[in-house]
Amino acid sequence: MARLDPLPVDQMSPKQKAIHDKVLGTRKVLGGPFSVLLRHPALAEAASGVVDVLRRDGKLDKRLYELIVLTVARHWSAHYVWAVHEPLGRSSGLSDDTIEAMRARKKPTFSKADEALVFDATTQLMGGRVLSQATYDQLIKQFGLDLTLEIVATAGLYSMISTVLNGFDVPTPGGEKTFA
Amino acid sequence: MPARVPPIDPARYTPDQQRAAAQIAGARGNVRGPFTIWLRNPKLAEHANQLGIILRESRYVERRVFELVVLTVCRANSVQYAWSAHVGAAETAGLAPEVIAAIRDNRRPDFKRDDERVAYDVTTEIMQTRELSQATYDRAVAQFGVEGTVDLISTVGYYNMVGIFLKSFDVSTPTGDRPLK
Repeated sequence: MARLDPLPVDQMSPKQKAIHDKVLGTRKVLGGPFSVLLRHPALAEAASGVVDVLRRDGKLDKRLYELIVLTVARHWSAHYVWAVHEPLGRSSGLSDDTIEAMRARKKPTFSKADEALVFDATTQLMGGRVLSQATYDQLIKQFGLDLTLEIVATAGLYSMISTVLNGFDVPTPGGEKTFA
Repeated sequence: MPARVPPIDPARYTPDQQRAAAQIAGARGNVRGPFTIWLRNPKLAEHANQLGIILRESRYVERRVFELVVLTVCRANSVQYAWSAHVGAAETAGLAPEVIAAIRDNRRPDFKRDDERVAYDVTTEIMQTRELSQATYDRAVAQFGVEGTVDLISTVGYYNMVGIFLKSFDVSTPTGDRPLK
């Protein structure tokens, strides 16, 4: 049972309906974090803007984007994010072994150096640490400043999304828990 | 220690950066801290700025309580820059100096106001356990309503995002001090 049921479309204020339709855009359903944020339409709109900048318009390889998302989701045990992004991680090229290791909270054995670096950076940030100078330098060398900015902003964005999802105990689309 | 990413010289802003910088300065009086770096991606800077302003101007969570939540998240994550940027606003908004000092020193404040106590408990529970018990959630809704609880928890989330960003680029306080031990 959800703490906060999504507002039925026919009960939305005109402003909520307008932003609902705008945020829905290319998405199939307005679920998860947006089911909560839509209670404050301007907030949903601004959050959707941040998602679009990184997810739709970002230049970062989707495989690395999904690796960051799953790493953050596992740190927070954000079931909804994991349920939605696990298939996206697979279809973007993350290996089954990598995904299963993350699910089990083990460090994956990466065969690709870019994945190892992005996982290491995200893990440091989830641990509340300042990113080490060595890791920062590697990110800049491998990706340049613009993609490094996308990498850490994605880690931040999904931390924010996970905070909202866990604060409202938002269920997964199928209602299942994705990890113990 | 020089900054990892120096601010862009305003004379070299692109049109998109000029627009984003004008919005940020209009709402905040300046472009500093995370915004100097977000500006490298002007659309990101614009939306992140809007998100922060919308939460700061919540109709349901007073500024005093908003600043309490911000400081509590900054303390939990030891985000030096954001602490230093918000401590003055917290005092101006009416948060008691004893409350601020207790948060800074990792002690539970002795709250005189119920809204501060509830907001603090919600924030610390999320920061410590990464979830929120039904009992604490129910207290939040009783105090702030559903809409206020959306704003409150989103503020915790937004400052988690800001903290991660600041720590990625190791952004220091204006004077280089470290107010959080």
